[in-house]
Formats: sequence, C-alpha cells, structure tokens
Amino acid sequence: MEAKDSVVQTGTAAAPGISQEAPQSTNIFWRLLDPNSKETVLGDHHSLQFKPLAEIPLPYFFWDKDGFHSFASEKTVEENGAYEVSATGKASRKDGTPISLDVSITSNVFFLLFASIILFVVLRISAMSAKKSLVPKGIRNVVEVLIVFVRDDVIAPNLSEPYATSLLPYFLTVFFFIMTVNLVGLLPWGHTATGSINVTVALALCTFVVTQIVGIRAMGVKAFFKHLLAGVPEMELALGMKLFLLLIMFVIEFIGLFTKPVALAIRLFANMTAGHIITVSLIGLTFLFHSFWVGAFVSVPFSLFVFLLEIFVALLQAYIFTTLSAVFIGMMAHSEHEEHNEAHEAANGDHPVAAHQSA
Amino acid sequence: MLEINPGLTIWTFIIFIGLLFILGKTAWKPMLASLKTREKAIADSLDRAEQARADAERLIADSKRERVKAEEDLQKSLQEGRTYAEQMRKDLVEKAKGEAARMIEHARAEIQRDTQNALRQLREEAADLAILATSKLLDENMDEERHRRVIHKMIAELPAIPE
Repeated sequence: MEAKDSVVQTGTAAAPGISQEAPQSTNIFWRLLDPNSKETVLGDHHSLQFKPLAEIPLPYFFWDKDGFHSFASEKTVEENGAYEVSATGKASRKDGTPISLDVSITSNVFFLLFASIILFVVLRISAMSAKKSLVPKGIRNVVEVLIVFVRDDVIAPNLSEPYATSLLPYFLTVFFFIMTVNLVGLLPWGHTATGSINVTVALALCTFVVTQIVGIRAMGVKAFFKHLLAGVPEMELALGMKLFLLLIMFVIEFIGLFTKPVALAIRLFANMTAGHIITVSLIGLTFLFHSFWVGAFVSVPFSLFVFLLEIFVALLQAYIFTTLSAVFIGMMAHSEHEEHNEAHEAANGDHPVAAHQSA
Repeated sequence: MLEINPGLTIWTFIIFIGLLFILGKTAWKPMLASLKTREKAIADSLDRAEQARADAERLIADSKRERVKAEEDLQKSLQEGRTYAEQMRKDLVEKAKGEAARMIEHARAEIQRDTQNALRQLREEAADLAILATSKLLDENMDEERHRRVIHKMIAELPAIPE
C-alpha cells in the first residue's frame, strides 16, 4: 500500500521536471536520465567520476574569438573570469553565449583515448608475438580469430581484390576500435563513447569518405559523377522527360549518398545508448516503487540480463558497422561492372541495407 | 547523447585516424603477414604430408610387388632345383644301371674266355697226359709216327669244345 502511494507521488512530481528546464530534479532516477543534470549517465562530462570515491577534473580546451584557451579544470575556468561553467560542466561566455569551438577532453574523449591505448597495447603484444613465432599464444589467439573473422567473413563476401586487401587495415581498425570503445563503456565508471552521436558521426564520415574515394578510383572521376545520375543520360527518351528524370534521379542518388552514413551513425549510437537507458530505467524502478523487493527481484536481475545483452551488442554493433561499411564500399567498388544497368543496381543495393537494418 | 558537440567529433577523427595509421604500421602489418605465412605454411605442410603419403603408398605397393616377385622366383628356382635333382637322380641311376650291366657283360666275357683257355689247356694237358700214359703203356710197341696218328685221330674224335 505504501509503495503504491509513493509511485503516484514520485511519478507526478518528477515527470514535469524533465520536460521543464529544471536541472536539479529531486529524484535520483530522473537526475540520472536528465541530460541537463550533472549526474546524467548518458551525457558527456568534463570530469571523470568515480562516485563515491573520487572525481577527477578533466582539462578544458577551446577556441573563442580571442584565440585558443586551455584550463586545467573547471575551477580554473571560473577563476579566469571571462567564462562560466554550467551544471553539466559545459563552458560558456559570462554573458551566456556559447564559445566558438569547444575541444575539451570530455569523459567521452578520455574513454576514446583509454580504449585506443588498451587496443594498442593488446595489438602490440600480439604483433610482437607474431613477429617472433608463427604459433599463436595467449591474447594473440583472440586477436587472430577476430582478424580472420573480419577478413574472411566480413570483407571477403563484400569486396573483391584489390580493395579487399588494401582496405583490410581500415576495416580491422574500425571493427577493433568500435568493439573496444563499446566494451570499455561497460566497465564500472566507464563511458560508452559510441553512445554519443558526435562519435558515431565521425566514424560514419570516415566510411563515407573511403566509399567515395573507392568509387572514384574504381569508376574514374567522370563515371563517378555520371553514376550519380543513375544512367538516365543513356536512355532514349524525349528531352523533357529526360530532364525530369535526371532531376529526380539526381536528388534520389544524392540523398542515397548521405542516408548510408547517417544510417551507420544512428544505428551504432542508438544501439549503444539503448542498453544504457534500459539499465537506468530498470534501476530507476527501485526508486519509483520505493521498494527493496522490486530492486532485488526486478531491477538487479533484469539489469544484469541487459548488461550481458550489452556485451553481446557491443560485439554485434562493431560487426554490423564493419559489415555495412564493407557493403557500402563494395557496392561502390563493383558498380563499375554494372554501369550499363545502374538504376537496377541501385535498387538492388538497398536490399542488404534493409536486411541489416532489421538486425 | 544527442547534444551536438563538434569538439567530440574532431577528437574522434583525430583518435581514429591516428589509430588507423599507428595500428596499420605496427599491428596489422605484422599480424596479417604472420597469418599469411602461417596459412601458407599449413597449406605447404598439408601438401607435403599428402605427397609423403602418396610416396609411402607407392613404396609399399612397390615392396609388395617386389616381395611377390621374389616369392615367385623362389618357388620357381625351388621347382627348378627339384626337377634338376630328379633328373640327376634318374641319370645317375641310369648310368649306374648301364655300368653294372656293362661290368656284368665284361665279367661274363672274361669268364667265357677263361673257361675256353682252361678247356684248351685242359685238352693240351689231357693230350700230353694221354701221350705220356700211352707211351708208358705202349712204349716200344709203337713208333713215334704211329703214336702221332693214333693220338690225333683220338683228338679229332673228342667232342668239339663248347663255345
């Protein structure tokens, strides 16, 4: 009976807090989900939080009208006087207007670097072992299994030579980097940098650039731009019809060019964030119901299950990002053979994407 | 989460592209090279094993054929030896038989000759004895000439010497 009453109370009291711009909600559950709160688990931070043990400030770097600024921590930014720091740690000018370009080391940047260092160390150990002997030992076994998996099961079906070999280091880096960043995000106090759209956009842009470079290499500059017109100029049509089709096809192809990286970026970001939101929500149930029993028998087992699922998703999303990159690049690399029938090829090309989107 | 932060995107670019170059140089190159080398080594050793197996099979087949041939040779030479020995035995027996027959013949001829000699001597002896005895009996009754005549007549009346 008591529990039920508190549900209504907290539910009604906290819900408006997130829609309004009140940064400090009373309930810890809402504060964890509130992107404007300092405690948010889903947003970015300007410090490393090892609650309740410690909080390590991270340096601020930004460009403003008068040039480059660097500060060791939040405190020194405020001591400077010209800038102020919001509740979430974001620096802005005293008058409240945003600074020109903020390139601070945020927690996401820190965990990107942390993951890179771990990845580098692990791969370096494996590479040293590989230089010494042909027989794999220890961590090198895992690394080799993943390398062979990427090479034979991800790249080989989608890309032919010479791209399969020349682009292999790119795909390996994408796969290992995303996988490591995802997994580092599951460590206690860790942050999933791939759960930020800003990170996934950068990765998707890399694939986009590689795709276009491969397209130009495979088809030549002229054919590459002609390919954007989907083969309409070769059709025998009345001039008006032709122009109309050209316009439509150009728009469609041009949009198609950008939907692919956008799909890549949003898929990775959404998948990595979803698990965290579910975990926070499940733990939040304890606070919503004000009940030990809900915590012990619903929140903990279910969030443990979601956590295990997230380990799987961390690997799966690295695989999917790599596979889709290979599919997109493969489509571009092989369209040279199907230039006579590009409209058909473009229609077919959407199928693997659709298939993977459902995954 | 969804708030736009170009700084983070720039950092991701820097970290990712940096990692791409560093790993490309220091990790992927040796790892992929060693993978390729190992794959080649495994393929090679499988090939070699297959070759060795084929070689061994051929050797076994060869030695089997050789053994069968040797056995056949042995059987043949045994058979040959047996027939040769048989032949030899037959020859020897034949030869020995012939020799024996010849020796018997020889002995028989010898005996015949000796018998005849003995008979002739006996006859001479008998003649001499007869002459001696007769001459002793008759002594002066007959002259030498008559003796001779009578004796020769007697001798002629003796049955012929059986051959």
